[in-house]
Amino acid sequence: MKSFSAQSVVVSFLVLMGFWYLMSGYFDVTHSLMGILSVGIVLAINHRIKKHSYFEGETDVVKDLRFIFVPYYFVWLLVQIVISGINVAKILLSPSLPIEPSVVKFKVNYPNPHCKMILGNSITLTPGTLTVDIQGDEFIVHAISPASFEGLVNDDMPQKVLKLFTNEMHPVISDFEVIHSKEELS
Amino acid sequence: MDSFFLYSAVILTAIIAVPAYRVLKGPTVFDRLVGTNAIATKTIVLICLIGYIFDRIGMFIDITLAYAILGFVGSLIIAKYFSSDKINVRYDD
Amino acid sequence: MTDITSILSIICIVAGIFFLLIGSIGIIRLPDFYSRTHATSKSDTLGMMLVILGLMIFEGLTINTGKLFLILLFILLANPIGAHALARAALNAGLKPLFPDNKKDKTEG
Repeated sequence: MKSFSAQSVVVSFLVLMGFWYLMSGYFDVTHSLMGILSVGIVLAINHRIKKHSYFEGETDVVKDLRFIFVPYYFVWLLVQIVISGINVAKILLSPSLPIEPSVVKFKVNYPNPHCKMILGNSITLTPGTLTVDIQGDEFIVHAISPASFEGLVNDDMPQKVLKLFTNEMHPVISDFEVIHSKEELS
Repeated sequence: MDSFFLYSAVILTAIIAVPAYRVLKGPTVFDRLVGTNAIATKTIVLICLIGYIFDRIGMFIDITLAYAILGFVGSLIIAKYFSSDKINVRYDD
Repeated sequence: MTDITSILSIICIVAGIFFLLIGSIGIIRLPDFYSRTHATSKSDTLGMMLVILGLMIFEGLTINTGKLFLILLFILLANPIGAHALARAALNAGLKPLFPDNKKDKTEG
């Protein structure tokens, strides 16, 4: 069970209220009162979800997130999305279809599970790689060509995710192995 | 500008029809699911364009949001259902 | 009609429709399930983001722009998660990826 703080309730209320104003588009007293009533009902129904912990050792990490690095990370991610779209277009429009699929396994060392979620989403959006499974600390990644998982081998992208949360840098990736045939994949 | 939205909606409809081949033909059930997923995500864009053609974007944008959320939850539930190994999924190995 | 915002939004929408077309071609051409997931998750995300960006530029600064931005954020989060869920389901169900050395024994759908 996580701790149940008043701060998180206030933040949820403000976010839901902003969503209400965006959806309705009216700012007069009647609609604001209806919005407060609706948000109160939603919070009352869902208050147990905030106490429930979905995986072991889950903590409230929004406090640890360093907000200065978030816009930088998003700009980097948008550039990566554009590069990967052009990359896929280049592969698909060439008549010989130059793909060479392989599967990569590695272990990560992160202070909290949210890092793993962000890393998994970033791997899927960067060129040529796709997160297939996460079991504990082990990632299974499908790559469309051997050149595409270089950013993972030299520990470039995982360090960027780690920078969002903490100041102390340490190597993240370990036990890197490339699987070349069906028999090695248990 | 109106005719531009109309032509792009027509072209987008033709693009949406292409993954239907994979849905009908796909060797495994997951290929069919990828096809339906692609159709569902492209339809989000199509509904936005139709809203601009009819000049009723305020109404169509709400439909788009509801459609996007329902499609996402539906595809997650179907993936969860097929990932259980108690269900015999037929695929050509 | 021919002011700068219309031209910008037309460029964005045409580029987006091009990337959506690439995603459709990828679903047909690529040889196995995991590669097809690459096509849908990357190309389609970029294409939809470009089309909705074009519509936002055309709309200007109204409440509908906020809703379109909400759709943009939702797509950016939901599309990779959907692809990841399908790939994980396929791996758990026992579908093996296609490797280059045994490409010949797989019939192309």
